[in-house]
Amino acid sequence: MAHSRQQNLIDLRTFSKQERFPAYAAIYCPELQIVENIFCLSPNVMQWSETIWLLDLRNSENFWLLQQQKLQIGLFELLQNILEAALGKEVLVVFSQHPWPGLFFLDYLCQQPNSRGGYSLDSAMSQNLYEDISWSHWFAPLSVLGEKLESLKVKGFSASRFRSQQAQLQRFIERMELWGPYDLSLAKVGNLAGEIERRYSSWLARVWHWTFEPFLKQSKTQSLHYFPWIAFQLTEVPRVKRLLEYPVSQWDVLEPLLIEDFQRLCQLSCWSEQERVNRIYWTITLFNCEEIVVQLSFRNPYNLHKEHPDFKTALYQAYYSYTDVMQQLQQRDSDLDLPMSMPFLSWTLEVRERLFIVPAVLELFPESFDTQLNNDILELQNKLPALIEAYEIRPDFTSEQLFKTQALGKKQDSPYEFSLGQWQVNLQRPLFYYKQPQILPADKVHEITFLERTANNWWENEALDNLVKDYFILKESDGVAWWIYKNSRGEWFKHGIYS
Amino acid sequence: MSLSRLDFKTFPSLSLKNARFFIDTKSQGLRSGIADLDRCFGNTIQAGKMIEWGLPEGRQGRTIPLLFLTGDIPPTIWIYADNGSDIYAPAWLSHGVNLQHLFFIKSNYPVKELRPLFLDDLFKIIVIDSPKKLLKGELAFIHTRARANRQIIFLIRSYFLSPNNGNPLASIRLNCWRNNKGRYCINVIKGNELGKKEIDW
Repeated sequence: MAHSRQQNLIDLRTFSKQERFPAYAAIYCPELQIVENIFCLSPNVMQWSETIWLLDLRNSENFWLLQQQKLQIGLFELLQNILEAALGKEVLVVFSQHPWPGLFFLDYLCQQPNSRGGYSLDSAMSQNLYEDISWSHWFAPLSVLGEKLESLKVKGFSASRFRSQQAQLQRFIERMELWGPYDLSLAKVGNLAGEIERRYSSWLARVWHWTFEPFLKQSKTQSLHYFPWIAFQLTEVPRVKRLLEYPVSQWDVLEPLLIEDFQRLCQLSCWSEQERVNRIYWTITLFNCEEIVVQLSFRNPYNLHKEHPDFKTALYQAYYSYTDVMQQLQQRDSDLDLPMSMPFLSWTLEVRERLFIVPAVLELFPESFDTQLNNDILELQNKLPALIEAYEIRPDFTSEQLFKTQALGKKQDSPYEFSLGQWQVNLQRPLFYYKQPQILPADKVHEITFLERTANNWWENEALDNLVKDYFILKESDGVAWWIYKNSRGEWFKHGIYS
Repeated sequence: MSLSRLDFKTFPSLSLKNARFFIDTKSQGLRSGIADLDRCFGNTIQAGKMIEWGLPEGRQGRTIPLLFLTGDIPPTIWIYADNGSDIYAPAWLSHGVNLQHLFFIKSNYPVKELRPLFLDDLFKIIVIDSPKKLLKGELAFIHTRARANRQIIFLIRSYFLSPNNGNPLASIRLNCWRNNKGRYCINVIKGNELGKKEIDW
């Protein structure tokens, strides 16, 4: 099956340095039969136009990485298979780190004959194509963007002014005879986005920023940067309401009632047990008739039906939210004549973000979702308020970039032809370090032992202050050992402690 | 060995050579493979037991408990306090720790904040590093859960332990540090071989 599907997949990852999980997907879907299926990869979806959808994949990353590991296939092949099974063969998808580059590239692909399949903007070939796209594909999604901003009534935004500013920019481009946005990006101007903002508008400057910043600079933040995300909601949302017979404030009393409500949620016919939940909204009406909304968030898509009848995971999240709410209310109302623990009068539970695993997608997975330790870790993670961290090593000469956080459920991928274990043999570095090194006055530097010299990736425009770092062990008179360094300017910093 | 929900009984014995630990299937104990150290511990590092370590920051004592966590360990979690520093993964790897099996989580009040973690038997070794507050009742809870779930608990204190303040739940209590000559020292306060000694390997 994998081979036949592979033929349909236009795989442009050939020269990709590293397979990064995409933050967003822009999808052209001309034949969407069941609208729920658009939630097949993510519970967070935006309808851009009649046939174009945007998916925010960040919340479901661990879940899909785990499925990829089980199936032992490429990440994009897996995502493509799921999209084809849920949305049909004609689907065209661009994976990117920000929605805008995806939309820009998708508009270009839609105009190409016979284009379908999946494209990752992280791949070198996609990047080459991206740099050759003409202005018409950049301006096309701008009209939709204007409509979205207008519908959101964004402060200071005027659709007509936005259109006239676009026309001005177009005239400039025609005069300069520039083929595409990439040509303009090569202009030797210090801050091109700033220039666009000064000459045209802040919104055009933002679009410019979206076009190149997350893609070329490999932004790690994956922030939307003012992109108007309008979450698409289905008309029928699983919802239960509870009107309490008497005011209730103690968790011991709330807990069995919540269990009942989770059971009622599961029995609703508007959703199925194949669906996974990312967020439940708990709208509470307090004793003073004030309404507060708290979110029961699950880091990894959570199967509520499977935990019937005790719903431990959901209850833990509800408990964390309950204690937070109670603390906040007590702090806020400490000077008012109100009960210490504000009682609840009623509440509503709504499943607003959920992932649809359509039956055809389930067939892609040869085994049950829930058999391995990684699944157990993901399930346990959902019950905890803090993040379980896992790390993997990267071959790099700089001390900070030698490792990165690894997504839970993902095996360490080693695209290198050598053992990463050997990369840092005999390193005398501490178990704990400071992400922000602490300034160390030079007069406190006594009794030091030289360890090593590192150089940063200066060719990637990293700060020249840290071009070279000389690392030492600083031993204080009481025996405490610090990991310190001297930068290129001769300044001293504490970077870690030998625990 | 692949990651899966493992019981201690299923662990194969690993080699004692080259300072590698093994979990003996007969005694079900965890070993460092260093003769001096293992003699001190005897068979105390077993499922359901709690080991209390006195490891002040900056004294490099954490190298000693890490010797028990090298190689093919079962799923292990290291709970560390939020005191401004973060995990520097390459150093853990250079100590021989398998980062595929060792997970981390940040918490100042582990029992209060991470109760589900102790109720679950997923992690067979739980290291609680420098908790800001751990009440006697919470300690009893951890110990009870460790016995029920057949887990090993390493409780690390960020100060040297004193024989004046006991911990009846800990099987062994010891202080570890690296002295000015660069040698690792341990001082066993409660356990088989009481007293101070230098460890060579």
